[in-house]
Amino acid sequence: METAEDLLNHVLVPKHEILSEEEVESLLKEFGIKKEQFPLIKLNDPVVVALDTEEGQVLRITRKSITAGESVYYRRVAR
Amino acid sequence: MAVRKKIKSVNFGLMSSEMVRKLSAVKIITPDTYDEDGYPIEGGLMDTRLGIIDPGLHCKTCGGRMKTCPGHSGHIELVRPVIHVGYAKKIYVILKATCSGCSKILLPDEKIASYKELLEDERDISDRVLAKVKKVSKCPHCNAEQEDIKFDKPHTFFEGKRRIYPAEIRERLERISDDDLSILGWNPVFARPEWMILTALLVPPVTVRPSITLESGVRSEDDLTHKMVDVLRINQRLVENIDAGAPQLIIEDLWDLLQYHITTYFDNESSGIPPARHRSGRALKTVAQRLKGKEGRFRYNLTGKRVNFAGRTVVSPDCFLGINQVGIPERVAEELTVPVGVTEHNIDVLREIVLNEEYPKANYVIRPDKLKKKVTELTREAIAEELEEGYVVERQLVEGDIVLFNRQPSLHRVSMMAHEAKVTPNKTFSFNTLVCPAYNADFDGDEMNLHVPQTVEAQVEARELLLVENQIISPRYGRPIIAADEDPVAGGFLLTRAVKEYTKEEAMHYSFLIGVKSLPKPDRGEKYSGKLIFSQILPPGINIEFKNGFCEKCEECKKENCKNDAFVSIKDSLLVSGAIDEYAVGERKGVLLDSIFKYIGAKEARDFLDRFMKLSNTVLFREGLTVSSSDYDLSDRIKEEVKQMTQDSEDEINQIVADYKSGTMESIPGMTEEESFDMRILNVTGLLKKKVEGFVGDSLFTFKSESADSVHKAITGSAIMAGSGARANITNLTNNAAIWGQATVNEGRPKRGYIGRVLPIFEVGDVSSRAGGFIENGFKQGLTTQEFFFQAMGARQGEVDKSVSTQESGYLYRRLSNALQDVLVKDDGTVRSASGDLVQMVYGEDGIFPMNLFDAKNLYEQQVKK
Amino acid sequence: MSDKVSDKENKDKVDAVVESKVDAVVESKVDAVVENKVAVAVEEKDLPESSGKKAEKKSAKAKKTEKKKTAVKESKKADSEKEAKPEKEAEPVKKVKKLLKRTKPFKKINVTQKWIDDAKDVTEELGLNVSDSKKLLELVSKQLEESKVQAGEAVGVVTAQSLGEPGTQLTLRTFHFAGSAEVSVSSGIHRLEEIVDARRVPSTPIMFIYLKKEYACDKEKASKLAKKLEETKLADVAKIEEDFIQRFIGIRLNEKKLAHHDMTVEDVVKKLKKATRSKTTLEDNFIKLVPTAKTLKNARRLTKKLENMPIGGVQEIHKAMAVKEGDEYIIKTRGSNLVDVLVVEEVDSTRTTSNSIKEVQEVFGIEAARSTIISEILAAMGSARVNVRHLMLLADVMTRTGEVRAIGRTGVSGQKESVFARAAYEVTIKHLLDAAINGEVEKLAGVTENIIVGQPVKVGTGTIDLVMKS
Repeated sequence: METAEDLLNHVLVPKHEILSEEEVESLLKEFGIKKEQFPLIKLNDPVVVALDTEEGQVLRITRKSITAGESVYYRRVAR
Repeated sequence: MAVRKKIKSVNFGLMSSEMVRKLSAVKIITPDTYDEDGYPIEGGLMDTRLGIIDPGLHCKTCGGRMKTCPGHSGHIELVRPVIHVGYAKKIYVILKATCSGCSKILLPDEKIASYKELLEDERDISDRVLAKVKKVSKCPHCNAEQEDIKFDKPHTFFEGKRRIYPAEIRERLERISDDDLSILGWNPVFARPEWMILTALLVPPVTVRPSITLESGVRSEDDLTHKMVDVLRINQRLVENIDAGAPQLIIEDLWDLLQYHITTYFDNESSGIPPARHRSGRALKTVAQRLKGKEGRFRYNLTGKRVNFAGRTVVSPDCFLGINQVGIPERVAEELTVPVGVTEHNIDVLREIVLNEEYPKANYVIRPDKLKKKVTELTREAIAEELEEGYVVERQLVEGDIVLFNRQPSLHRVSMMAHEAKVTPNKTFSFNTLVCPAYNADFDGDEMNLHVPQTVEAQVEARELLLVENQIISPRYGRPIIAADEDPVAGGFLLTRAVKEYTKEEAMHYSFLIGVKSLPKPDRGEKYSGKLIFSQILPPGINIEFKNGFCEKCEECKKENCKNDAFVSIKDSLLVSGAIDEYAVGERKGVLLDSIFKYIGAKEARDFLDRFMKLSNTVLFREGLTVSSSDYDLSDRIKEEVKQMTQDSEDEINQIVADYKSGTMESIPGMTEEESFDMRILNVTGLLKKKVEGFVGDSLFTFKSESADSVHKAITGSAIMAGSGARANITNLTNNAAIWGQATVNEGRPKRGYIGRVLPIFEVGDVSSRAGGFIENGFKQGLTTQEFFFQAMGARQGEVDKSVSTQESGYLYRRLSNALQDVLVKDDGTVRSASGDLVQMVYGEDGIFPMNLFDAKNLYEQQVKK
Repeated sequence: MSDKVSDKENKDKVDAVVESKVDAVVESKVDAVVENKVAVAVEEKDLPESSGKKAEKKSAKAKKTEKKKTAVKESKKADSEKEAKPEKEAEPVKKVKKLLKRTKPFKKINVTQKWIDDAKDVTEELGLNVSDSKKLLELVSKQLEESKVQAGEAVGVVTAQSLGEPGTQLTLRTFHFAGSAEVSVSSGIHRLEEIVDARRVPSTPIMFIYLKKEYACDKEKASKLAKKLEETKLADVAKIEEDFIQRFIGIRLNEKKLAHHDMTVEDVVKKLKKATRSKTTLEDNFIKLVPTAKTLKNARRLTKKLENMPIGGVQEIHKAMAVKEGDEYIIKTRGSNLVDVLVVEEVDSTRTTSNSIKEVQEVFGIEAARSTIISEILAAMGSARVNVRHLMLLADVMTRTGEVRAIGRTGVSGQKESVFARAAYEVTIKHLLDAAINGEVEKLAGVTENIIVGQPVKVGTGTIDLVMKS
């Protein structure tokens, strides 16, 4: 299997960052949602594995966007 | 006004037998329906306490008449319990999971407790629990031996060798605790497993299964009623037999028969048993059949319904109608009405309308107590007197009313738009042709639907949101979809091409048509240029520059001095240079139209289009556009060139054939030999066609000819149409003038036909260019018989593809729209599903709706007056 | 629809006036969120003159002050109403106040990077000077404000329509690239359905394999690698003969073909030894295999197995070709196997891709799968133009759960919360029965359910409650 580094540097894979508890809290407030309402990413997703993320954590994904240049997305790690 | 009840939510659950008995209005005993007088029997299935289907009778339960009484349920007391066939599988699952002796779950207590804990985090763990329970043979709580439970579809259960009957199953299920149920995925508040076994059967109201009176006077009962009769009869027999002390076997047989009838009552398509049939052999339609499928309750009567205040008829074109209008036949306008509430402000006007003896009249008047009175010659005066606040007058449709206009299949939102009504003396709906592509309507007999919004809210919403002028830009790709096509494009071109000049009379005529009050000063000496006249319909303050279809993409753009008049420049609403064609006002490409809509406004865009249609169509009409066969005459030089090129290509192909036959042909990597062979020939013919198209273009568009100062001086009708983008393109011209090229079937050369050859006129094994479908003639020269046949093969494939792809795309569309319909943009700009779950943080990642996309350059030019 | 550009001075005046009125509660809430957005969004990029940035900030501020103005007006209205009717706070007003508190402010749409880049291009093309390019940015910013998608817009429906309606225009068939060394791809409706149904394997799986530097610039090396990657079966390099009288299976290796695939006889023997338990003897190019099978049928089976036995290359890669793309050589394949290809030495595993969406999800993650869905649909649509935002929405819906879900009843549609919606779509009865057992609650949140029940749909104008002031 390719290395974790290769994976994260792949053209198709955007930047994934793990958010702290406080950051997640403020997001929940900002969007007015419960944490179950985030879009999900699987625990066995290659990027989640590479970043050694745990279930329940929230990732901030910064995508390169054709329309906006850059755009931000959030996903919560679930089984 | 009226208080409307709103349904907030619906709870699903099982009905227990007590609930059934409580809900029931009558206990049904006898299978007889009517007595000798034709009157419903008491205690029978058509008892009047269950509802009314005959006008004139009162419902004994609620006192209502046929229109008011909604019908009431009854019940049948089953003398022996029966399995509800829909839940048979669930019963099986539960029986397997619980002990035959004590009815506890077949897992040790600790395990049960741990599962209960899991329930706090997750919603549904039943699958996991059930997997664990599979092979347990001894109950960990009471040590009873568990025998294997078998399930025979659709409703028979065996424990080991012994048959277990519903009564016993019911007892076992009753003993299961609520606690245990929760980890099995049940919600014991709404559904206890023993309720899956029926002791009291709910009988649907009479209104659900009405009888029909045939012409012969005979009453025919509904399928469901027949089924009920069956159930009642067997139930009766069962009671009699039990009371008379009949042997066990008979009782069990009758019990099974009862089960059969009740199973088929619920679902007559249950697998494993024969469907119940009429005497005629036709299978009965019972409860499940009524709900399922495309014509079932859900899809046919609930998600889509027939509506009132709608009309449908053939459509025809009318270019002098505004794009916002729709022509409605007077006869239709007389039927369709708009309800108007009477207030102190309008009571006088409404009184007059009621008193009108001819169109526009009032059809009905509704009293505050909801009583509807028809307005006729006799009642007119009285009603007019009666009118006061609180009444509603249903008046006939009148010019200016907003209506919804639609053509099916309604594939996108522009398939239904709001129009302003214009009543005409014709018999068809009519509208401006610019709107055709949106509806995908042509006038070969198409019919369209009209709906009249009945509340003020609806009317306003229609006018503000759905009006045609607001839909000019398509949300699919952000460019105009209500735009000029064919005639107006040609007309616009004729008007604005460089050479065009008009006399004062002509200029006045055109200007009057478009509502211009005073002529500008002539700009070509005494004459008026077409460009000047065109400029009169432009909204004030428009600045834009772009290249039209005649641009040859020269290295150095000569801008306003372009010899093809291809540089369109509009400065402060004056068309300074360039001819107007599809790149100005056409679908998707129309930059001018696009800019007017986006930077000036929808109203102005509509006004521009309305006037453009009148102007360009009139120009076309007055000046005429003729197409003749001489349009396709190529100069001798070009003819020679084409002939030479074709010959060269044929030689090339024949070389390939020779190589292929001798095995020396070079294969294309990744393809088999045959595939390579085909592909190489297709490459050659493709290239040829392209080259020929280039030459033909040069020849037929005389502005491109050597005498290059032409700028549209002498152009043939065909060239005008193709050049301006009105109709036809260079390929069509080439097909006519020079050559068709390679006929293709299935993306390759035609292959199917006779053995070893397509047509018998060729030798077996002949794969040369001619035999493979190469057509060297154009329509003007005429195709040879073989060529004609090959072309027909290709054309036929196109037709078939079209019809197949329509079906496929229809299903795809249905799936997409069903999955996406609940996805909305919320107040905070996020995109969410029905339940509030986040789908996108920002729509489209930048929050811009495609319909609103704009071009920074155009915006700048527009706003910054140069 | 768009305003004229106001003078800078006017704006300044307005700024001053409004700033002095800042005090309502509602306002400060709007403020807080807006501040955040403005701080985050405006990027610092080098425009022709850095004053462009100032223009942005100014216009962002203008937007903010406009918002403040309306907020001030609103709160003022609420205040005056309160004063007028101190006795009974009318129902409608209470309702409105409750809603205002609950309503989250719309996320500010700022001039994103893309528009800044566009503006740069236009500036160059038109040869604008400093002040003009500032004006351009202001205009763009203002127009963007008005181009926002509106709250309540039935964006899902529009996406479905935008993808479904051009369906009739799409080609029905597979098309070949009309070039030489390329692979044929399925496109049109067929491909669109494959993607939307989240099928495991597309009908024409393709990989674009990028190579490390030394290989990317050398045609020879690239081609050789391509051959090596191609899946070779035993039957491709040898002729298999059965001799059942003497009870052996003979494998006659073709040297030329072996060389073509960059393999030696020993390689084959090694593979054979690994694959079967039979005794093998080698004589020149002829391998004798004594099968352990007892029956003729089983021996025959062994022959078949041998014919299809992979002895070289990567599984599933049926054809691989080295092709020039731009300045480098890449390998295009018919057949896809990301897992095995990425480990090959010569392959650049940061750029290699496949069109098989499920594979992309498994190897590169869900975000990569999302991007692939978008690019694949775009390719399949061909000449029918659909704005990418629709594809983005579809892709986001399909990947929401972390896995690629099909659109139909096995996926998105079948997982809806609403019982009525599922029952109305397909397999009616089952959904209703199961709902009863689970005691499900139908919340009537979506479109279909409200139509069934006969209530206004909560979309667009249905998201709003009209309240009339008495």
